[in-house]
Amino acid sequence: MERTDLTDEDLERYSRQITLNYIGYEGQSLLRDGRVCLLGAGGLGSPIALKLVAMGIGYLRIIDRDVVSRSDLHRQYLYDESCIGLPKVEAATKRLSILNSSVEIDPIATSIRPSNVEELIEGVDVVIDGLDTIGARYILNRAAVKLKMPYVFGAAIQTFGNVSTFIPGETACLECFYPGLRDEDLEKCATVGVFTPLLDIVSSIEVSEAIRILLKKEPHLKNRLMFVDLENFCFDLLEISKNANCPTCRGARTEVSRSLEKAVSSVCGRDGRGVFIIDTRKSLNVESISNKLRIEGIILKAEGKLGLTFEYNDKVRVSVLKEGVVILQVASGSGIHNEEVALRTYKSIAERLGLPLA
Amino acid sequence: MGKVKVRFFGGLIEATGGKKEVEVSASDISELLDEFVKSFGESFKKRVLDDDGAPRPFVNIYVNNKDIRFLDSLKTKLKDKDSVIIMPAVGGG
Ligand SMILES: [Zn+2]
Repeated sequence: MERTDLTDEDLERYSRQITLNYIGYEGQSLLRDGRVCLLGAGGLGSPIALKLVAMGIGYLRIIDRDVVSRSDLHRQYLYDESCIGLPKVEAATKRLSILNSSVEIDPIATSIRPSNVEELIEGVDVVIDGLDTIGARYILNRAAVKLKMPYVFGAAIQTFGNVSTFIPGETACLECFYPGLRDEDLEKCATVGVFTPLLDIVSSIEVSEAIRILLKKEPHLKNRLMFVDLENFCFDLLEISKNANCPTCRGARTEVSRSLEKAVSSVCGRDGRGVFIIDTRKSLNVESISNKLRIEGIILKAEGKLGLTFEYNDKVRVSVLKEGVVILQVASGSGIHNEEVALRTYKSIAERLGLPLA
Repeated sequence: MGKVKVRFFGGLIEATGGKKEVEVSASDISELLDEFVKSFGESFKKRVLDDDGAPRPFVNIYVNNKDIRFLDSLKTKLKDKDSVIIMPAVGGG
């Protein structure tokens, strides 16, 4: 591919990276042409996005299925109070575009499923992990191995975190060393919390690895799992390797991750509410939903192009995303205490407002 | 038989009654886990091991920074001054 010169504006803007031997003019050109897919725009994803965009990559695809909550703001400082209720990818795009208008941002408000993951991650140089469940990471891992896509893995909870870089065919994959995990067995940040400085460290190392891939340098964390714990102040590099019996690496994986193909799933509560995510898998017309809500006299809390949030009643807050994800945030006393009841509640809301059924 | 230093991380610290670091003598990982069941009791057993006495999938054990899945698993031998790390998988983000 013919490479164009950096512009005068680029030379000024990125002067501290261009004078840095590690990047230089050639490196900045590589970054400018670099394409990254970020999955998840939460605790890890939002600082990842800020750094990649500030540094001047060419293209960033951001995939997330959530809206901004008040309880995100202490760590997800990509967002501010005016973003509450908006789809994260939409609020992120707005902020990132004024941070660096030369980066192409491609926001997709959807959840990651075995049926859409390959399409979501294709056409980039590297995928970077800002996800918050192991189930979604397995879906990503299997697709990354199949498509031979470099995958920078990162995870964080409480005061500790992990980073590793997977190069399909060369290194261990996620399931070589973390096989058979279930989200039910792992700690969740809504119940055990997470330390903001940890997220910056883990996300910075992920970005550093992704940048190395764009610069065509060898990643540092091939076959190594970085472990950091800020409470006990440990930084460890643990050795991992390709597992000869890993079904994902052997290409023997045929079943899909059932738990994420489900139409409804409860995720950890936030802002004192229970949260249920319903994936209708049908594209929605956000504008016509907004009109319908006005006619019904329902108050909109936040309205964007990719989704909106409204108070259905004093116990149930609903967010609707363009690609068909619906989030129910239910207050205690609503009687909505499990997935079945949540789905039934959604059905009655959907019928009244003309939303698709799951 | 080796005297090894074992460090616990994250939620697994609860399983040891709050101990983050212990020194134990054991000849392999299996024996090491038996020692912990003896000293930390039922709460350790329930949190860390499954019904067959094997570590649960989210429990990762490293000897000298190497994942025992790529060594001899529970039969991985221990010698004096080996360092053992027992930590839960990290899934959040
Ligand atoms: Zn593998």
